[in-house]
Amino acid sequence: MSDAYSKILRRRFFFITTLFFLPFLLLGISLFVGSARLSFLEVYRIIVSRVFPFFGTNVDKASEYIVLNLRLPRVLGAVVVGAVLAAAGAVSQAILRNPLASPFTIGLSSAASFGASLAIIMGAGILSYQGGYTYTVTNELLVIVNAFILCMLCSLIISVIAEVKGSNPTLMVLLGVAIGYFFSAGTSIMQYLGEAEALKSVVMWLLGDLGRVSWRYLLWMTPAVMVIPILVAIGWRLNAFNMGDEVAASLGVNVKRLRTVCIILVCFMTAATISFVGVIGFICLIAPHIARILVGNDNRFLVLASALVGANLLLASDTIARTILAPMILPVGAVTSCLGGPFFIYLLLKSRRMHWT
Amino acid sequence: MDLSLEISNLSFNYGSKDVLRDVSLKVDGGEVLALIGPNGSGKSTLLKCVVGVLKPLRGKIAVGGVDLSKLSERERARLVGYLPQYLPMVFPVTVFECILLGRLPSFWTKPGKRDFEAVQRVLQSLNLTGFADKYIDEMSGGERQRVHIARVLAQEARVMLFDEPTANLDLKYQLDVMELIRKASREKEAATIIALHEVNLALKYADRVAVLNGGEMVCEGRPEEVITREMITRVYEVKADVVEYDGRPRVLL
Repeated sequence: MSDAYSKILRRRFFFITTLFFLPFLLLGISLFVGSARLSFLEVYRIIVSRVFPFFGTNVDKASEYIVLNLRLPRVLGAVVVGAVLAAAGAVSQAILRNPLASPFTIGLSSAASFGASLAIIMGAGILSYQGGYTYTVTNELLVIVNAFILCMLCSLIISVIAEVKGSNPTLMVLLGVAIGYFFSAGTSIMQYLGEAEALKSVVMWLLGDLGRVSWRYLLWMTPAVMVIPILVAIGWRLNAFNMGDEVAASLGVNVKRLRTVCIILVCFMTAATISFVGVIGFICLIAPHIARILVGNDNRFLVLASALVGANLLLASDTIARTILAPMILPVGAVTSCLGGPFFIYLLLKSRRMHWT
Repeated sequence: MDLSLEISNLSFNYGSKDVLRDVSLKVDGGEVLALIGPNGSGKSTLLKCVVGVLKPLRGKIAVGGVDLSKLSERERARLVGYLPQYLPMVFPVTVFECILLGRLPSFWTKPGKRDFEAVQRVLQSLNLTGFADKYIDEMSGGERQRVHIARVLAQEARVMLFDEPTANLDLKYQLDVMELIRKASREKEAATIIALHEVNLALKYADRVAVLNGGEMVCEGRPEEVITREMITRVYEVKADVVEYDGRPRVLL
């Protein structure tokens, strides 16, 4: 292997390792802050006593509940959602060959929002009526299922059209934008028709909130996390897209199939996270670009690095969202964009070179 | 071992428009064939059919006697390397990574020792070793084209296809690129097709020349036989002189 390339690889491993261990530090801080005052020691004693029950000395039941059932799922949720959305963003940029692409540019946020509004305002999700038979589902579950199904509907529309018209990346972006507008219009109409109370719920949902994450939701999000290693494994195939579909095909990549599979995976990852926590934007666009600055454009590293950057960013944003105006908790989506925007601009200005052309 | 590329009765159309009609062509291993013809004559389409980007309507393409349509994408990619005219690279990578991409048909998730060695060899033979960690968008057009050719060479395919590799290059790099391709073709005994606009480059570097016009093969043979005043008048619809200089014919416009 060339010396120059080994140097590049070492640099990448360094950044990825750092990004991997950073959340553990952030996790510590994040678990410690909150309206209930708990000391560092207390928090760790609670966690240790849970992991190693034989150490379980007298921990306060209330504190234990706060740490294990309120804070821990929330911070783990931040890590998972950040990682999944960021990896999905990196992959959409690769397959669409577009630095502006993200799951949200292909209409997924609008689709999820529409699904959620439908459930909240009409109280009638797609799943609630089947064969004239009403299923009783809890309201929250209905919102989740609706948002999820609408996201996957998006992927269905895009992949069917790609199958018929050919998988041109620009076509896909335009399609996504059109689908996005369509669903946004649907959401607007829903909001126009909705009652004030329901409207507030929709707006709250749209803001995105990690506080909704419970252990059960974390479990349901795990399939989305498992997609990340698959994407890392096909990183080299994603690299082939970079030089155009013709070169990719000449290198033995089935361009159309891989692009469609990736679109479906991106939709799934996005659906499986934002359905639970609401629309948390920007992370899927910004995290891959920060990762590009750190590890370059080789997708084998980029997808993983993006996921780690996303996890760190969302965890940090959520910690700030919970503390800056405590005891009030700001919506994490807004905080991410608020802090991420200027930070991103700073990186763009400071970066030695452009990582796209 | 039979290393030839054989195209027989190849036809292709985009919708109702015929782009290639019954094109047949044979290129031996180590031989460089220049494919010339006016814009829209079907040169690029022919190359795209051979590499598998486009599916021909009729006809057969075989490498070393093996019918390409019977192979998987990956198997085909081990036999045929291709450099298109336009490369829409949005996210620039380093020279090393760019060349390593050429090894994609021979590994699944990550490149192995043999792949790195292949890249190293190509870097050395093209004097690119010093550029290995340089980003490709920071290079000049000529250097960049060298890297893309290096990518095709690293693929170690039996057939190499280049679509106007000298377009937008200055004189020095035009010659450099042609020289490079011919040398590689000889060394690897790869059957090589270069689609070209510059007839004088075809005269200077090609072993054989094939002329396409309106999707049909007009003539084919040794450069000095094919490139004549009559052919140029007929195919390109311009007046040109073909003079002999230094033992070889040259086209004067």
